[in-house]
Amino acid sequence: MTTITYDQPKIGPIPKRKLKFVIGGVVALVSIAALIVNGLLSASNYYITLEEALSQGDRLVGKGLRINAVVDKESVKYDTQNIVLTFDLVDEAGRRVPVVYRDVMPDLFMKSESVIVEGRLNENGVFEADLILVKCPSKYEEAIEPGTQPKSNPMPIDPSLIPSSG
Amino acid sequence: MSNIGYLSLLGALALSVYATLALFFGARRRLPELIASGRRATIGIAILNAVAFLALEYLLIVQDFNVEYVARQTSIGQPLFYTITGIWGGQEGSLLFWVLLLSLYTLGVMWVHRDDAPELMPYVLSVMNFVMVFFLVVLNFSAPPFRRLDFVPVDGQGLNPLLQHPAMIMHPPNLYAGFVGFTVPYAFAMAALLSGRTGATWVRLSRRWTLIAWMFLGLGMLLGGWWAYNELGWGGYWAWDPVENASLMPWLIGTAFLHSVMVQEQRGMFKVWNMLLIILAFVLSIFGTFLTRSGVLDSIHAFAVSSIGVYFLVFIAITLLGSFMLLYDRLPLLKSERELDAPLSREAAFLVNNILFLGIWFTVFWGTMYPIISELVTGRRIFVGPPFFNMVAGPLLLVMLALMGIGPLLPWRRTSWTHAKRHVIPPIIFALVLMVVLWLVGVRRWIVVVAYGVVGFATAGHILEFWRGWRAQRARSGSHPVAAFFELIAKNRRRYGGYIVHLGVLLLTIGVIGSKFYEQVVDITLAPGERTHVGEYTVQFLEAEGSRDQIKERVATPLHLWKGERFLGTLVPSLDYYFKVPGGQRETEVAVRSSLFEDFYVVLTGVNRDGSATFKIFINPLVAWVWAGSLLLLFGTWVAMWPDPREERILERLRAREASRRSLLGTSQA
Repeated sequence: MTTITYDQPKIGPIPKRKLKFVIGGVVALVSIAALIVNGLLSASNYYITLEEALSQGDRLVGKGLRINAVVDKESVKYDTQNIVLTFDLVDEAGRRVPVVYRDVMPDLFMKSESVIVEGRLNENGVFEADLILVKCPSKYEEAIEPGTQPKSNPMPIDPSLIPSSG
Repeated sequence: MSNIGYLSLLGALALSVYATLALFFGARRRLPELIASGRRATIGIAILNAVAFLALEYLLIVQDFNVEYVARQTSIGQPLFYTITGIWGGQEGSLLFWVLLLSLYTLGVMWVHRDDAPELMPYVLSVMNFVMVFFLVVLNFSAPPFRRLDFVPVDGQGLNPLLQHPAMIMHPPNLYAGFVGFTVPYAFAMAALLSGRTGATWVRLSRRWTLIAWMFLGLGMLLGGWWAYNELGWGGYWAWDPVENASLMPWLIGTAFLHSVMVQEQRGMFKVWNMLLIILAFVLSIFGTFLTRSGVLDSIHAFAVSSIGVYFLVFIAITLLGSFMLLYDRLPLLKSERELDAPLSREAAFLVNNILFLGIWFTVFWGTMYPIISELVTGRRIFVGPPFFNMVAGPLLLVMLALMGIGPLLPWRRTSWTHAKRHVIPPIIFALVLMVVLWLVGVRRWIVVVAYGVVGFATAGHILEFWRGWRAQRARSGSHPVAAFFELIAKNRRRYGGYIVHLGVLLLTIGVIGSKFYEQVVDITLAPGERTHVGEYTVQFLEAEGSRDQIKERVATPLHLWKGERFLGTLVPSLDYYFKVPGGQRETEVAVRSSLFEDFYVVLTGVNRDGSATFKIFINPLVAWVWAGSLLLLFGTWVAMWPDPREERILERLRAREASRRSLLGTSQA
């Protein structure tokens, strides 16, 4: 180690001149903390399971919620005219919660097994989503299996998307 | 070829361990031969990393699908450009890219500072090599890029079509260059502690490197936002997604650091504080890589919890613990040479600036980590969305902008009230006039009026600073007015580059406020040939057209667009279906007509059976200002980075002092 000599740091009462900086700093930190706490109180959302959505539905009505579950692909309906996407979320026990999303279907929605929906439960037990998160392709890595080969053309775009005129 | 790559990485790991130790002990025991050997090993690591990188690139180009990484990142028929750049599309490749970048930075540092501070540099290189050891361990043992499959797939999966976009290709390398770049100032800081030379030398030598890292990080975020806006079709450019926050956090702390090191340079204060900031910035860079790569958080970017997470956590723990212990041990060396004199001084302004940046960083950090923290504490995952970040960070940013308007006007040490008043009153008057005008024009949301008032205040302050400098320069040199302006900037690039960055931030803020508070969204369905009005615009849908190529089907829906009577052109929003992707994939192609004041942004949501099409239309005000502001910010950074005669003189003096010290030392030893 290079030779280093130094004095012990002095500890003593805060000099008067420093006091205003200390007070200013404390005020600044307290206001920042207050902002954060206020933000947390008014903008918190809860992760719930499908089971909780079904059993505690009344208690949760109106609260910001987030559910991570599997989409039942058979139940997906997309009304492109009014832009309403409806589908059911299911879990292993077969419980299901209907979801309605009044917005454009995310590009990867049909591709992803599970999704995260953010929104609120209404009185009828329907989850009104205002945000759907799907897996991002940057991490979308499927297992590669022997014989992996793209199907030449399994399905065109949703039939409803192809113009009738051709 | 995969064996060459594999062996290169193993060799690089061994060399990096050696270089770390050789440089460290060489510096400690003052053994020039050992240091020279460590330097040669550093060059060797760079060569081996480059070989490994090129080997993987070769495998990608020849499409050797037996290599798992190749099979994931490319497929037959994928454009060559995306195959080459696909190297940083996945985990293993991007870590290899990280390591290559770190090598380039290390070589750069070694070359640029070959004549600087001989007591410091071996430690700097040793710390950088230590970081290298960590990443090579991960690459060799947890995320090997050259792993082979036990069969040969007929075709690869290819890069996801959503990512096949020039901005998205350049987005990760810039972020990584930013993340990796923070290793350099961190290494200088640790070297200062290790060598006991804790003055301003390390700050002066590493300043430009910090700026480089900071600029790349900013550019990466800009490209990410640009891609999201033009590709994802939700009409926005920033969503407070954990992965976005991961790059914002080191950027914020880096910004705080760039400001507070000036105080150390000029006044010899804030030494411990600067150490803490750079440690935090570096750890957040590693943490950012960890967040983007390990998937610990629910995010649209991540889902697979991968094994590299543990490595990263251990490394972060070691870094934090080691850095803090070293810092604690050297605290007595970091005593302030002076004390704060007055609350109305530039030092005090920088102090408040730092508190605010830390506050904003903490907000982002807390909001990002809240699901994990709340689960640990209450057993229940609670999360906060964009409203939280906007509610908390918004006001802090506004205070910051106000401070940005005041700070540059204050001299060091102390200011008299009369001086302060003379400088601050004109911008305040300008801001008040601006607010009244906005109110009269019909902007009635008080928060927008106040925010624009603050922006106006800070802008006026900066323009006045330029004006005063320019007037003085003209008087001094008597040159042509335009020439005098450039002379002014050239004379003090750091200062005026910084002001240009500030103006960029202000432009960006104008755009963010406009697009945040005045976005309009409508859904419309149009039959072929039908016209409708959207605000001041008129759109006419022509007819849906289907097409098909090797990898996708496309439905395109051309729209004629008028504003008032003026024909603006044809927009072609479309929907693609990539049938080669396993399971198929839809992709929305957004069409945007951009102007200085607003963007007309169309997303095709579907074509119906009767031939009509449904669109989601956004009118986003002032988005162009976001891009323009970001570019100005980058330009300003570049100006500030450019060699500055004043700074060169300071560095020259430093070198001379260094040389005389060395000769003195040499004579005394001899």
